[in-house]
Amino acid sequence: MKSIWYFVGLTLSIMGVLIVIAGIIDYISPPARLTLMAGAHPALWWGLVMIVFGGIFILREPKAKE
Amino acid sequence: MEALTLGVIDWLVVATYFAIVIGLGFYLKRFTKNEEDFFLAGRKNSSWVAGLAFLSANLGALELLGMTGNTFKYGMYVAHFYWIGAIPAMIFLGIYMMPFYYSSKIKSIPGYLKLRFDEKTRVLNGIAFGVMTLLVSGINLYAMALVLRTFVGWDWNVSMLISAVTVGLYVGMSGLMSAIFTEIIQFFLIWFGLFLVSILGIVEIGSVQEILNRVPESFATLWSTSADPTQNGMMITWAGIVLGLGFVLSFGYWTTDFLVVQRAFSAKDLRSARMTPILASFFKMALPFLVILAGLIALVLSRDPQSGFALLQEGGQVNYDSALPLLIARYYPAGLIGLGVTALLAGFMAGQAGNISAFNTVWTYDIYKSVINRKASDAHLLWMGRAATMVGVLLSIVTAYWAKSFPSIMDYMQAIFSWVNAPLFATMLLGMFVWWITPNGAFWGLLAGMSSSFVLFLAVKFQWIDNNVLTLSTSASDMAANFWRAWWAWVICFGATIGISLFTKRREKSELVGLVKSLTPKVDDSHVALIRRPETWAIISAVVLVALNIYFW
Repeated sequence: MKSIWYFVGLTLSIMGVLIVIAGIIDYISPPARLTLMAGAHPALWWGLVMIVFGGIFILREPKAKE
Repeated sequence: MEALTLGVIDWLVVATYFAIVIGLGFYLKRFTKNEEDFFLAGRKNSSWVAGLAFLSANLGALELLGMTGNTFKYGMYVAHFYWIGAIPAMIFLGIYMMPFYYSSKIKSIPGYLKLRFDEKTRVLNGIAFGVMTLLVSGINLYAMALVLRTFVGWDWNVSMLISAVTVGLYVGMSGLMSAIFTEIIQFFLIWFGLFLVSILGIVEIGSVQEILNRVPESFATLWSTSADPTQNGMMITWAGIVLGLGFVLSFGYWTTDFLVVQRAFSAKDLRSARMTPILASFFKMALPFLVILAGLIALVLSRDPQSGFALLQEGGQVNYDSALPLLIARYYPAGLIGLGVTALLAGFMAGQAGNISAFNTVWTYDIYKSVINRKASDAHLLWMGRAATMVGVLLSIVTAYWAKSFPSIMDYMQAIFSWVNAPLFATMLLGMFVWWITPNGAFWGLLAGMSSSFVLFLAVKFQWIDNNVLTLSTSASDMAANFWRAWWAWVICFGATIGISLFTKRREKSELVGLVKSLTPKVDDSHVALIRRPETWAIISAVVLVALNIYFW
């Protein structure tokens, strides 16, 4: 049985990839209505943070016992 | 406020969440072979898994929105709910109470009452708990639909039905195991989905210190204004915080509410079960950096006319719960909006799943097997657990529509908690630590405590007595009244249980071994390394708690 950490990693990775794609689209073609911190491109780097954490959880999975 | 607009990628993020939780239900069904798998997740979880689930069962979206809004209203005093209002009780559960719960191999909290006292006390608590979980589950569903309609513009009926059916599907298939899995996913979604709000808020305002500098002084402290209730936003004294919240409500909830304690029962051994609430205490202490910080950021922005930030007004009343969704709308671009909405959805759904999984266990063991069908086989109980899940979901939907047509039911939430949990804590405390407490003392004491809590709520609601009588002060908020009502319900239950026990028949000491502290051999954990002992981590947790309270004094 896969451990819970695998599913946490899967969730964060898939969502992270989607959010990075949204960030790239906004970077290339900024929307008409910008949010307050749009210049910092939060979707881009927060999506990357989620992918990194998701990857760590997936890689850690084989060692999990529960 | 304009509704948050979800783009294609936002919808994909939301759809990913639904696909994963439903997929998990189907995946875990293969491993749910018997009733222990369904009701106790096979008793094979590590303290990390059980600990995160223990915390997440309490971390609903209703709490996130409500506590962020309460911080806007009351300031940093709300942090008491996370620190003194949780940590001492979680440590006490892990160190003193868990050995009795876990070692007696009970499947629910009412199950302990049966072993320690008798069947009637178990059934009384089982029924009260069952009613409470269904009400809370339905109100949670109603609140979710309300939030999604207000902020995302979703149809009321559709969002309620989709989430209820989803919860019914995955809890019905694999019971507590899928509830725990989704609660842990929810924990990470909440942190990843909402902590960015605080980060971007700090970036906009400048620093955490700047945020604290720009709110009224009484909103930026924990204790220094607690001697005089007129000097703090919550209008409460330190005695109300310590006795009502820190002692009765907190210990009543964290040590006896089966919704959270059930997660610790799923641990693989006694050490892991004891570590469960202690590990969870560290994550609980971190939550103010998500919730309180967001509330203070909203407060600072609303006090600055240049920011263009203001909470929603409905019928002349400020909607404090709008603080967090408004911050999401302010900072989150496409993609992240979907993540923020998913975090809230996950919080609501996991809250509902937690209540339903606790309900199906208490119904099956403490009402059905105990009163209706004592000879039920394991296979039949597993079937009954699945059936109870479906019935529980249906009753939650009915409660949600009831709440919709009768909005003041929301006001009764606190009353429900102090009705069930506060007196039960007195019964448990006496049951575990005083051997001569009798079955009749426990039953009638519990009934007296529950009744008094309910009557006190009605007395204040309909102004038969003044709030000030209850709170022993000249000015008090509704929150202060909640704390004090819980305290009086606990005192009445405690006193009545002792009084009646003095005159009624005691059980033999030999029957109470393993159930009462003074009659049970001490757990020998001398072979466990110091760093792995629950006591070591409990001390560290307590030290961090004291340090936080001194820092924000």
